Amino acid sequence: MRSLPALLLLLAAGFFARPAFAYPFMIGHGYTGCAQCHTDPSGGSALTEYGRAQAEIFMRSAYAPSKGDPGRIKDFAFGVPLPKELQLQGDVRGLLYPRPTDAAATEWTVRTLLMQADLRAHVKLGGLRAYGSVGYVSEGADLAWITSNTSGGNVVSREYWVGYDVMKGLLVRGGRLALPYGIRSEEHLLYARSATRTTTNDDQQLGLDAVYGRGKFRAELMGIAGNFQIGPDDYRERGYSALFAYAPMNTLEVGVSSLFTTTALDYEALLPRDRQAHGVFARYAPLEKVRFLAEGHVTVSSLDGEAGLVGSVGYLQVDTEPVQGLHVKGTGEWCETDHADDLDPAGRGTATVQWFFAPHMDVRLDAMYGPLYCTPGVEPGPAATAQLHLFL
Amino acid sequence: MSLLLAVNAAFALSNFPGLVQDELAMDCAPSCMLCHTTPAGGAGTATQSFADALAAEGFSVADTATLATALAAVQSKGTTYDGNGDGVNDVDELAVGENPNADGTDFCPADGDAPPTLTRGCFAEGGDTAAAGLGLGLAAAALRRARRR
Repeated sequence: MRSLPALLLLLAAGFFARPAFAYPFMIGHGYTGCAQCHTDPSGGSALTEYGRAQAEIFMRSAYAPSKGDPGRIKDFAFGVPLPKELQLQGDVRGLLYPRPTDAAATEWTVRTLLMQADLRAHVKLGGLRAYGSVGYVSEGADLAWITSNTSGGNVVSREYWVGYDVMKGLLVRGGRLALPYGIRSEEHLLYARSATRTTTNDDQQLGLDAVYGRGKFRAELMGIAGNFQIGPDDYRERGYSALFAYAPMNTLEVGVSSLFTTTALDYEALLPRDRQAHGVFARYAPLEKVRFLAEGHVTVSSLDGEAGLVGSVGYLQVDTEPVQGLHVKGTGEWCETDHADDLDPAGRGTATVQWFFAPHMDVRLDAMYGPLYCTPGVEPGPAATAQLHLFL
Repeated sequence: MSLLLAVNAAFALSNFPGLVQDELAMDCAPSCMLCHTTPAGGAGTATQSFADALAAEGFSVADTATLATALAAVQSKGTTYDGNGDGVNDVDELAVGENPNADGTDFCPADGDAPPTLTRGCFAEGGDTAAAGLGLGLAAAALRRARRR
């Protein structure tokens, strides 16, 4: 709490709190939801003007006493004025990944990935809303491709939707949406996200969705029509994804999630597949600068009509902020795809330092020990990555 | 150390079934089970005999160009590479849609029921430009309207 205006804004946001954050550690500032700061009431999208102000006031390192009002630097492209009905945001995120080029590790290179170069726009005219993103990736994000270059970069569109605020706290929308499941986070490599296919990287699906959030409760239900940026139709999953959360206090939120999809041809297994995931999640900040995030889910995968393989996935993460803007995190994860097999569950420990060091910018270093994906039986080992993120 | 290689692979290996299909002019793309021991693939599970054969002939997940040379090298060495011991070279077997590993079903059934190739991107065959176009078009129209206001 660096100023009275900031405190008042924080209290107001806490009162009207709604769905989860792309930076879920914000619960340490009393935010159990994110509708105040993100144009998507489920989070992870372009920031509102209020959210931009909070990013300046609370999230980045402060090198001088705060005046409460961050001024124009918080705005799009560091100060471009926009009509209040329009929010624009550009995001660029690059990754450095040192790796050996041969099994003996005699030579190393540093691999670079352009993970994100997105322009996002949100328009709100009365109760009508529209949102869309378009961007470029140097590789990966296959399920969000617009173009089809299998040997290099691609244009991607991760999300696009139109919606209507039916009543206060209730948004109904249709389009390509991130699935409402668990804690929404920018960390798309968390086993709990990748194993349930609920990342915000490229796991969005086309569907209809209702988001409700008032006071201490929030809920979201999405009917999934499939990913129409892959084909043919056999590969598209249909089903539902939903969550319900309750915040008994502004530093604690607990919730449940459920997901079911069915497809004629799973894009990984090349067989008919039904997937289920059901679980719980919680965010808790016993101190303003100490936050705990946790999820635990049961997963069921049925291939070609056979009995489902029952597994589980989850994590516990502690996020501390010793000085404003500098986060030191520890994450422990597990993932098991079939409890009946003899393979050891995939497990991973990750130490993270993330520094919001300047307006609109952060750098992140991760050192991990364990498989990158949910692959039980894999011999664990070390890896490290570095990321730089800039948003306009 | 093996993990670092495996992690690297996991970033981009989802393209490899399609690359194998193109290289061998197969009727369908093989599943991840060609090289991996799990249907979903994943880091560290590329332990099928066919994966070992490719690795022995210089295939590196860090360089997709090595796939073609490794496939050719495996094919040129006859039954040196015969993972299921049926007397047919692994690549020759794969080229006609059969599974060269000791266990597993064939990839491209001869009865024409081979799974269709997964396409990615709105403009690929089987992709849907309408869905993406509708969403982006609506967003663009709303943007224009907002600017007029």
